[in-house]
Amino acid sequence: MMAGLFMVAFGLFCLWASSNLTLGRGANLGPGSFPRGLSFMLMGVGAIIIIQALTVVGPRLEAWAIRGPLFVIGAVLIFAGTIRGTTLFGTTVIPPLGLIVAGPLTLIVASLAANERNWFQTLIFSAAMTTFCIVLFKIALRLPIPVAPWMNW
Amino acid sequence: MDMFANLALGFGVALTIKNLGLCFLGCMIGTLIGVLPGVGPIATIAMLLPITFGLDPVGALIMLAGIYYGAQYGGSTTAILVNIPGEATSVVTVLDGHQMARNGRAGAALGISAIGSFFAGSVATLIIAALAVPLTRVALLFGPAEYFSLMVMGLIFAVVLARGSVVKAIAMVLCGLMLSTVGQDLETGADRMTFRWAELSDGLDFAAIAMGMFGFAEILRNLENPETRDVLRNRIGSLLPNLAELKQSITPVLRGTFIGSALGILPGNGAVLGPFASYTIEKKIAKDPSRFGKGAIEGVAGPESANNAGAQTSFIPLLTLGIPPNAVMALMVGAMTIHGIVPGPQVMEKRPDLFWGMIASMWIGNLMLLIINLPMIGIWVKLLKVPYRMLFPSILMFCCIGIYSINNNPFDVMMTAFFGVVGYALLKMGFEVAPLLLGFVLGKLMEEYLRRSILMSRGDWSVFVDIQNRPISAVLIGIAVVMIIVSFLPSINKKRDAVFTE
Repeated sequence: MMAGLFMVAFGLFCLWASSNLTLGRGANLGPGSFPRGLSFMLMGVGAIIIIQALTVVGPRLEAWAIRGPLFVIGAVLIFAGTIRGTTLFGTTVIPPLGLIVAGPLTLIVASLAANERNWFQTLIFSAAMTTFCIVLFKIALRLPIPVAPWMNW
Repeated sequence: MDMFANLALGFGVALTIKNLGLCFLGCMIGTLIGVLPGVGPIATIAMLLPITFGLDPVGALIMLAGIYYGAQYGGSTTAILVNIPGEATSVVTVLDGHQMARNGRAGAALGISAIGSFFAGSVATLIIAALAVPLTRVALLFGPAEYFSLMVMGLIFAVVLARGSVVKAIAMVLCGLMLSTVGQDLETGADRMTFRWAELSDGLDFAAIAMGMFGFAEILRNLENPETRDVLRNRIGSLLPNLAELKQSITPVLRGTFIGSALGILPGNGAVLGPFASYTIEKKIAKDPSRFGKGAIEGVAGPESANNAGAQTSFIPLLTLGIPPNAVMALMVGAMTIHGIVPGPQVMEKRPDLFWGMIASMWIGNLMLLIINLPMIGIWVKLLKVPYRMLFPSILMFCCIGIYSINNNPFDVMMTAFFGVVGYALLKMGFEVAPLLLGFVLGKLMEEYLRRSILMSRGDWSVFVDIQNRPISAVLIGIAVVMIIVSFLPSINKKRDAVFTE
């Protein structure tokens, strides 16, 4: 049921998003025709899913976990925010911190997503893992990733 | 004789020290992720894409291919020793493989699966070499209308052969196609669905979608079901099956190889079906079917051969037609495009070194896997003891660094996080995300061919089903329609469920 509604909503959203595009005439299909056709098909499929959900008794939806997604996605966003710093509305919110800070932060926050934890182990592990990543990606593979920007490295 | 000349060229390319090294590296990484439950080949290839940027295209593809079939191999180790399929295609190996391990025949099970896989892999390599030239010739006859129809058929096959609801899979394909339209229009340069965001005008990043929807979503899912890994404590025993077991396995290996090769070529995820089909057949023709599920060696030999054969022949549609049959192949398309190679029939003519080098490397890779897997089995077993709570932050970190270094842009990392959430939500609503990735990869091409065919037919939409002037296109569309109808018939539907739940 929710899945169907979601599809219909996504179809409508795409229809709205592509509404400013020209459809093109006759043989010359414009940039808008493909997305628009897809939007209608999506809404159609969504409707079928809704009908199926109403007529067939399926297994109940699984419960949604909060903890995992929160910390995992949080860790990823922290990485994105700190590796080269973040600038919002023209002002610097987070200075560029580089892998040497972003690495352990990401690892520690991610570890919070697991059900059991051992702080001592996590700290050792994140230090070791960060070192490993620096050696592998920066030194061995020469990827242009900032490690310690304040030292121009 | 052409085939052997081509293979000779291929071996010339594959046997350089650098390419041998990359092949070995790919096989090692592949085995590693195949062994570790909770890390799939799709996520790993997505993760390693950025690292291959620095390599030349031949080396990059050789390594990525090695990861793919290496993972198929490694998956069986976990299936046999831990009773967890490390990879979707080793689900059936669990049934008899783990029972054999309990009966003290773990070594024999591992041995036969390696021997069967090696045999199947070698045969599949020859099949690819033999089919590549004729299929490519056919593909070169295709015009835009035929190509569009072929892609429609490929996507329909992928939908019907996927597990779960067909309607939901169609919805996923449509979503993937839709996502592919984000960015500048190829012909007019108009911005599409970018909401005036400069970051979006180049289109969505393939790696970000793949890594988010597969990698991150997979991690989130695994975190929910705390796993219990019961690593076998029995001794593994001799890796060589005894004579009776070997005899019992010969025909299942042959049948499995055949079934796997045939299903792997199908557009859609045929490679997954191979082991299921092989297991069902072995059980049906066995003199004493009750032995199955209790440690019958045929139940390991057949599916494992089918598994590896299918993994390799699924390169055929990609290499000859440019159509990826499954999500891993979609990633290969991504890798090829990054290196400036348009997958499809032209590859063989323009880059014979790449084409044949990759095929030759598959055979070499299979040989390497034999060495990597059998004598080193003890190391892999130890690796199984790494707890997931240390594994997943590391994976996460590799993903972040990988995506960041594609464009040196943190925005890509945020995009990936976003797709991770979307992927998780979709999983929760009962969608499989693989068809989405296929749709996304094929979307741009499909739109281009659609528009070109309509232009050439002067606005006549019947070009695709015009049986007189465009018979190939009409037949392809016809097959697609029949597949869809068949998949909705109740009796078939039940059988499909049975295949995927066993």
